[in-house]
Amino acid sequence: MTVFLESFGFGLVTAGIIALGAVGLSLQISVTNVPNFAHGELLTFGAYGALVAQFVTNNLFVDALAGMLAASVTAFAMNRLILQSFIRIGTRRIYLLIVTAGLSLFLQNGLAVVFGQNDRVLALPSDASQAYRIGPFIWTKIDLLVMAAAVIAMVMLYMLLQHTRFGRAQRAVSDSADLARVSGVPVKRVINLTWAIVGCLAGLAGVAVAVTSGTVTPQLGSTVLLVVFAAAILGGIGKPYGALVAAVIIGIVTEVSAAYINASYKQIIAVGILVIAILFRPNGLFSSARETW
Amino acid sequence: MLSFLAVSLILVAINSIVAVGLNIQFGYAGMVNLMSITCFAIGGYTTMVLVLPPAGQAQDAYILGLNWPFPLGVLGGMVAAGLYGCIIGAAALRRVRAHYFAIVTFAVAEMTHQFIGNFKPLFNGPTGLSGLSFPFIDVVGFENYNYFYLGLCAGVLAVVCVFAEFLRRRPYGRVLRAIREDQDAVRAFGRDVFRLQLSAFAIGSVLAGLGGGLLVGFTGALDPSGWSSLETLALLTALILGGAGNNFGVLLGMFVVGGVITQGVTFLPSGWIPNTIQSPVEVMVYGALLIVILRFRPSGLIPEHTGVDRPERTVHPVVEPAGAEH
Repeated sequence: MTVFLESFGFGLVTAGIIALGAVGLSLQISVTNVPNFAHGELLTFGAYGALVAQFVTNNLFVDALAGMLAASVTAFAMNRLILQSFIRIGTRRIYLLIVTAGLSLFLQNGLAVVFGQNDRVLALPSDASQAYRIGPFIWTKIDLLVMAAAVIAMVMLYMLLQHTRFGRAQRAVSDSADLARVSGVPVKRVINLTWAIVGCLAGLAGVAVAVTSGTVTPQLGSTVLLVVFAAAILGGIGKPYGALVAAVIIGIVTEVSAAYINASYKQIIAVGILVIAILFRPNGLFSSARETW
Repeated sequence: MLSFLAVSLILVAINSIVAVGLNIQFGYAGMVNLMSITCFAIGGYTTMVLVLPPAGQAQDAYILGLNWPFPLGVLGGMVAAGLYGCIIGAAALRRVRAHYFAIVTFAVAEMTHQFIGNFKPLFNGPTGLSGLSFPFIDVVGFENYNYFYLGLCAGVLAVVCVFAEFLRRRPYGRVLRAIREDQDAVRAFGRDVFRLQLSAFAIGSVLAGLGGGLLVGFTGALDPSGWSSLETLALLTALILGGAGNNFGVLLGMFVVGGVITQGVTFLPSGWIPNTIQSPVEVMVYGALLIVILRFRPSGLIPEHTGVDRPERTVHPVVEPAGAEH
């Protein structure tokens, strides 16, 4: 039972990281209609942003902000410079997916060229791995910080989507860009801002991956990409809160299963959930019959 | 030097066989299959376990070990790859299309890679298999072995190309292309889209398996680091660069990607690109190529031959009519 509860606790940490990535991906697909295979690279850019910021300061909070900024700028540029130019000439969506895969190759290996392929170590505060026992769970200080950051980011995103004019416009665009446009919603600005927000969330997720594992590699994002996709699709594309629930499910299932069967099959289980989700619930756990994308 | 050139050409020829298979799936029928390299690997592994003797040493573990002759082993590899493709294809094609299909195949590729890399009893886990002796070496001898194998691969490639071109000109190829353009319309004409797609998927998988079998015959070894899911993207780059749907385009694209770029990065004057970053630079070029080609010449270097029955084509295959989507 203790094994179960402890791994349940780790699962919540993993869930926080997955949620940050998946909620963003879900939002992005809902407005752009393209599954972004380069989403993992946004996480990686976040992690490298934090790494670079460490030349200036070891304050983890500032480093994380730098990572978010780096990923946000990357996401914004990715949309404006690359994807929009394809959308303008009317490239089919399925080819856009291949374009994002190409982007992923380019960015990931670009980072490898600039920073080298070796693991880079992210300096953490000296008390980072100090363990706290809270109820039946054991968490390190970093784990607690990651979960806190995820919760704060989710609450802020909720406020933004539900209680601001941007949020209303964003939901309108994701329902139907054409209808939103004729109702006077500045669709282009909404899409740009959405990408920037998605970049922030992904960057934070990347920093979270980096601080929990302690290392930064060019492959950091692409290794979690499919898990993030799993949560976004299981939650239902365009339903950020669904992605949140799905992230919790996937985080807990993978960590608990890792405690009982070989941990190297963790990734297989997460990706297995993705395959089953696509085949049997392509519109997500909480879907109505309507096809979303 | 000449022998080295032969080695490069062997690899180009083997990859071309896989790419021609992928072309039937993606170029003809429009299915974005991101697990091509997985079927390639399954073909290679199966060939090896059929041809190798039973696992002897304590360190090694793999299934079968039947001591079959090499050609029979390759045939077994093709069957295994085709079966795997059929199972996955049947599950995925029945339920999803377009990008969902792409994501499913990519997910399956990752899962298979992780599983084979971790599950020792199947194909020796992370260590992989090795120790296959060169097929027909006792007949040909070491001297000219590379040239012999190049001839073998080129011959197989020629047969595969003729076969693919034959399919393309048949009504079968036409209906596959119709499915690519609008599968609902094809269904409305009473064709069984699922079965047609599945058959194209199976043919492509079998050809990928054939490539895998030929590769292990030449390298004598295969391990998980040799076939990451990213290799499928390199094949796709070659396909799109050359011209998806056109078999000659595929060969040209594969020659440029596998021959010119790969060897080019290695042969640039020393110091231009340090050794340590050669492989990331190479993959960066693939990524950039994919984006640039799809943006500026989406039909590739040699565009698909559209045939005399459709002389005036106003809409580009890659581009949808304006207003259809935003």
